[in-house]
Amino acid sequence: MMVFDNLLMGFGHALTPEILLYTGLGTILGTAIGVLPGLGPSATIGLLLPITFGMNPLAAMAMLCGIYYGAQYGGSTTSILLNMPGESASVVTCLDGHQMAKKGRGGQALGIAAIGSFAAGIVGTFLLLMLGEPLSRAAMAFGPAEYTILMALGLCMATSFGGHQVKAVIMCILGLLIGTIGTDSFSGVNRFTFDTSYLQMGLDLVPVLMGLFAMSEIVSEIEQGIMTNPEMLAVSTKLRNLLPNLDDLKQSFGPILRGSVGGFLIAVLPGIGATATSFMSYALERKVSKHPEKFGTGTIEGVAGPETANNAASIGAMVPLFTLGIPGTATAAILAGGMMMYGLIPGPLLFRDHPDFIYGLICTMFLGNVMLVLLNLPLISLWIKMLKIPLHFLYPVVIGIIIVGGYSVNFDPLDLVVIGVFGLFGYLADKSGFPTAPLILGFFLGPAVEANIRKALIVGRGDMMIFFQRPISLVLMTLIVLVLVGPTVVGYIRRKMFPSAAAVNLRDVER
Amino acid sequence: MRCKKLAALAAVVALVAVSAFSLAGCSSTEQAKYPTKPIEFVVHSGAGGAPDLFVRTVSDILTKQKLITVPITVTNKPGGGGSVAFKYVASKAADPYTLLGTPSVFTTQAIISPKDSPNYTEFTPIGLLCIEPIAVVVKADSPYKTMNDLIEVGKTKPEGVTWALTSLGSYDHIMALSISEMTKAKIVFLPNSSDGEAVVQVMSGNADCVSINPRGVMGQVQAGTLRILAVSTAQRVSGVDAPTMKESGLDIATGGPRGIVAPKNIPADAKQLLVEDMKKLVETEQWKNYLKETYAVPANLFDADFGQYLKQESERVEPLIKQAGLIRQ
Repeated sequence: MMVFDNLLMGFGHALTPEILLYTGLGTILGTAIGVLPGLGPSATIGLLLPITFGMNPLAAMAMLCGIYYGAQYGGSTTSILLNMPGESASVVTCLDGHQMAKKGRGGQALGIAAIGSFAAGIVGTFLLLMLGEPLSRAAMAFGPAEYTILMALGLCMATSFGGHQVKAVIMCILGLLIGTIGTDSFSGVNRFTFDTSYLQMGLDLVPVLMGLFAMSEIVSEIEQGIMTNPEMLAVSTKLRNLLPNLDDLKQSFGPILRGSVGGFLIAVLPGIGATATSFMSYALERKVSKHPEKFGTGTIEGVAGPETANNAASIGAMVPLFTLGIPGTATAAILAGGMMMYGLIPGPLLFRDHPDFIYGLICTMFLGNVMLVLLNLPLISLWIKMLKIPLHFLYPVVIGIIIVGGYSVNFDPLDLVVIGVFGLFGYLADKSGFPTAPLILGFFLGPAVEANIRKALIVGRGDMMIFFQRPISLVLMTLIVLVLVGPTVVGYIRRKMFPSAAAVNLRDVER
Repeated sequence: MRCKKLAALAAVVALVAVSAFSLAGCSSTEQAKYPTKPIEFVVHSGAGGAPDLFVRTVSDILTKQKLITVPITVTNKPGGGGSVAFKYVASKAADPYTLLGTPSVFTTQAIISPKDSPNYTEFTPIGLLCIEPIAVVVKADSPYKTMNDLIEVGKTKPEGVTWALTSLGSYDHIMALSISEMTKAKIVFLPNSSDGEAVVQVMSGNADCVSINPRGVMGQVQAGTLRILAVSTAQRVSGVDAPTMKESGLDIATGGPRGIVAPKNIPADAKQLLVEDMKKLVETEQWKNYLKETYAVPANLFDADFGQYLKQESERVEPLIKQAGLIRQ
């Protein structure tokens, strides 16, 4: 029962006024930057890091980590209220979350996001404590070939976000193409840059998201005559009426459970962050759901799953950092740099040499998650009040926030042009029934898939067999084949055997 | 009562008068003395990375030791592999209020992308403060015990050695290129987008070795799961138990240089003051601590010596970069 002794000691360190204060500060800051579009957790942590030198390392890391997982709580807010993803991990939350808000169920959406995030935080932290090291050792068996196939599996989910299937595939391919813009990091060749230095770095995700989701939503609202939905106005702002009811919780139990464990496990793999995890969770929930046709129309599972998964992922990403010293995400890399400057070397010896620090830190994560849920649930009634602001007052402010947020990422005015272009494109795509989520999926995963295919081929010296020879890659490859071909084959067999049920099954497959 | 109030008033008036005079005195005698307004210190990458920490540490020491009395603001200008920041500082010719922290790509980017990136002649060298070593790292259970084992495999096996890099055109890539050229060992490069990703290639058995700053692997080296075969610097690195390349029989002494430059044609007195400040900075305890925590080795080349260094480095790396086919038209 070593772990429990250590946990007790950790709480002893975490439950001091100083540490509690900094944990609280971190979670509040995290919520704020999560709500505001543009400035993400990595930039915030980077800016605050130099100020923390000289501070008690536990207090500093408790605050910085609080910002990291706190941002995942706040990220869902603008997705649900305004169809504006605060950061990339909340893109899929828009799909059902914003629909729920339009139907007057915004409070329930925000509530389940907070509850799911809380569950993920507790489950994730517990898994980190119990299984951290063995899990990250297992993750080290994943090389470029395995990553390629895992991400390709992610791309196969392009049709899981609603809308016409062929149109979804077209948008995903378009996303892949947009992802190739920029200097190729393997050869230094410029692709689709039209000789401009702006495009050399490729397009930034944030302006694309702002345009594709928030701007296009505003444009189509304007077209409809910017009328506030009467259902939204009728909603009571009493907190008790806004929280998810027992039915909502029952429906969300499965997605939250799958989201917290699955999101955590996938994020232990270095390089697969919260964004990819949230996409995968949404696709999974739609696959296992008894009523997949309701996804995209404001079903609570579509919010609970991804919102839980992205928070679990932010804890999972800490596992390789703490146990092996390998940062899995850009934010984790900054935290690693910070720990070095406090004289703490992240890696296997951290748990042996500095148990007071690391167990104390893990305990602040438990406490931080409790603080976050206590902070976020009461905020819901405030957010819902915001929805009652007449849209012709609200939207100009939102456009202002989009512009400031988009500009603050790189301080490059051309990013505003990108917001505009994608805003127009998103509006036209919506009108003609092309779903935009698959485009983000392709744009986000495309460069990673490409880099890993090429790395795998370098390792295999050009031999494609590397994708089949390694045991894990073989298993994943089989899984892909099953996902792609399985439904068709099963449908075919059923039609042959039970011709009468063919019509029903055909619809089943088309989904 | 009245008397007391008057006395207080007189005291205040006297105080104001004295301070006004002393201020006036200051401005008349030291009007032209640099620095008189805030200094902007530019980083070529985002907040929180190693280059950012370097610049923030330097500006912190300058302020704390009162070497520079005006405020120093650190600005991050990421993008274009560094060229955005380099171009920005170069455009401020003759302005001593803009400084740039030079990373290793400061030399290479101008060669790789001459159209977008100004080279070292566009800047005034102030000081090269330290060199970050590059460690060649393998898995602890791998058969490679020395650099020679690795090179031997590169020479004898037809498929060569798979060498994970942090990125193409980086200083560790250039070092590996010169090892390959010297020994005729076949090296196949596996570029990555971050240090963490590069280490994973070795851990997962996809690459034989990885070249990286020791910081990114020390946790695992101390735990005995990774092994450092050699470090790239001329002297051994304190805190790292590994021979140098020279001790391993390879005539290589290199590493990621970290220095400070200003735009070109800045006034001579400003340059003089900055150089003197840097000389004082490298003697401080805080700086020595920074070196220890980042495993960097002191370089201490100032002014024209730093200029000479930049020239030599550019001449040394240019043919290697050209040969690797990395130059963009």
